[in-house]
Amino acid sequence: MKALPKQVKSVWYWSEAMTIVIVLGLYFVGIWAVNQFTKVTIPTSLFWLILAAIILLSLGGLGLVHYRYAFYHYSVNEMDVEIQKGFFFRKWIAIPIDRIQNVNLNQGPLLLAFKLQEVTIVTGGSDYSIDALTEAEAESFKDQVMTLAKEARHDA
Amino acid sequence: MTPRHLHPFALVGELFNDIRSFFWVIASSAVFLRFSLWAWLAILLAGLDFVLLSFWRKTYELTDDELIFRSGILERRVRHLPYHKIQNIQRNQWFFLAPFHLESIAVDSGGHNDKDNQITLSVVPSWLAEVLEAKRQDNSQNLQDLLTAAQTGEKAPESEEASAAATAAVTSNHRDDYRASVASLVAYALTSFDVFVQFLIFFGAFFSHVDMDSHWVKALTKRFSAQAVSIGFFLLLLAVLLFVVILLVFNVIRIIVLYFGFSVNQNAEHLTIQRGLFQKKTLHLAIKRVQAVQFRQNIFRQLLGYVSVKVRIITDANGDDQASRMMPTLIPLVQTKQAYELVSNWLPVVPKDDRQPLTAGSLYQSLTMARNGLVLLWLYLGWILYFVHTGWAITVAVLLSLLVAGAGWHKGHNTGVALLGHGGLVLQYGSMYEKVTTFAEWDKIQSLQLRQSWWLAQRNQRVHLRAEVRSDDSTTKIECRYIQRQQADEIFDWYQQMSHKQFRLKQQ
Repeated sequence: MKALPKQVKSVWYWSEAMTIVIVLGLYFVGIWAVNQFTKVTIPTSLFWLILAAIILLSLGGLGLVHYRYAFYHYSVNEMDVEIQKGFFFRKWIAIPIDRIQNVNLNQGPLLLAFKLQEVTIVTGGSDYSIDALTEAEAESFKDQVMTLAKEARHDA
Repeated sequence: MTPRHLHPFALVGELFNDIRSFFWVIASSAVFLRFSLWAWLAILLAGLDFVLLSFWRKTYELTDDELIFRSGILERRVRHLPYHKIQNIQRNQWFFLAPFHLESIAVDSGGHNDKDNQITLSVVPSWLAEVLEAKRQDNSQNLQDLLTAAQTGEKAPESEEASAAATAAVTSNHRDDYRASVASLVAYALTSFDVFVQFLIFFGAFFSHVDMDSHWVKALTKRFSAQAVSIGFFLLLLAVLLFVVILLVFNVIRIIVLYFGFSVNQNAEHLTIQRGLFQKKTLHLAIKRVQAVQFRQNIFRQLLGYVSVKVRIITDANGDDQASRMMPTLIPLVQTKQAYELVSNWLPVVPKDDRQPLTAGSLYQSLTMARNGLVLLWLYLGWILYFVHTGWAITVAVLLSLLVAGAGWHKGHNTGVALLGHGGLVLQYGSMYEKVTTFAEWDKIQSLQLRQSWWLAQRNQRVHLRAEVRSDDSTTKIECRYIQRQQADEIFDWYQQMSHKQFRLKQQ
């Protein structure tokens, strides 16, 4: 089974960092707003407690990137596509090739910066995605899967 | 065949529907906005024009290979539907249209998530459905022959396959394959959970509006505290019982109206399900297109040994929200053993007898799910008790806890999954005191997922298995939780090997 490209770790670190900044920002703005506009006073112990929780979760998230990467694998063969992902909440997914109707490639700004693409497999059921592949890998994945899927369906 | 319009009765139907949808708008504008008579006339004329235009623009046409449906006033839509792509044909006939041999036909193609994708012909002659079904089953039949025969009421010259099937049908028993008796329909109504829900809703609404200071409540409480305490109590009990009986009768009548004359017939590779008293509904489905079969039993039915059978099929989105259409009932209520005998004849994925290869849920699963339910309940609602200390609140809390723990236990007790001999999978789970057993063929399962949290991996090697099956215009995720890792791995491997076998077969 293949692993994701190493750049995806940088992407994950960046997105974790951005989430931390946003959450902390919202938290402080929220506290300031509550102090400014309402008569409710937040006890300092609660303030520090929540802050500590946020910091702990952030550190945890950053630390997990390594483990998420280690656990994330995918494989394509003539019979099915298999995806394995997640560290705390692990998933193993099998999708038979002839159930696949389409493969979509997406690029948000973060992925664009690292020249990666998110691959979404569209089936008769719901969609499954592989977080990031290099542009070349993504194209070849798409071509391979679509060819195999078409062959599988035409023979049916 | 030249493009035809719908029957003029459709105009009446559409007008009626529009009035129904705009009723509140019309009523409130009549009250609040003082339009003159001329303004009302103008609005009425505009509405009529719209309805007429919309009617005029809708045409249908049958060619040798497909059904063509044109509609739309501003945005013109043309839908081509090849006969072999038809998933199911749903027919609806109101009793007042029956003498005219008219009905409403909806054709599902299983297209992808398009809003209002379904082709609905609201008032057309009944023979159209017969012709569509004949063409769907065997495309080689000549359209012209079918049309002339249908319109003159004779039988069309059939292809060899069709006449062979017809003679087979004649020689075999030509009664319905299954017909629901009125007794079974009554039992179906009486054993459903609807009564509970309606009772609770009414109870809640009633008590929230009772004014504790009103005269009769005071009179009732005086009765309670007086010597005739028992009489007062009995009166109350009687009132409640009477109410429950009324609810039960109402439900029985409702079910009988909806399911009167319920019958299932198999014709070669197709099933026809018919039901209804005032509105006769017919559903033609291709057996190969059935995605999954579900045997459903709530605890009443489980105790009595009865089961209700439903099928999962693919339908199109149509902006309507009829639950019965999305999961059609195959058999309303029948004994479990008979269910297996009947359904295995029509749908081979179901085994012939009820000797389940499933192992019942273990103690671990029951305890874990009960614990999960309790944790969620207290997490969501426990904080309320912090603010409200009354006796009522505590009683409700205890009752709810018992209910939720029981539901969790029931769920765990009924969770299991197993492979069926011929390439099928059976998954069983519980949901709100209802046991659901799903039978699905390998190739109808869109994907299979195993999920495991990190601590489950460390401690006891249990996983959650999730199979995805297409149902109406989206999918349903059937999940069996806390399955042993080894069993789940076997099933995962089997699923992949089936793909492998399929591939090898095609190579040859």
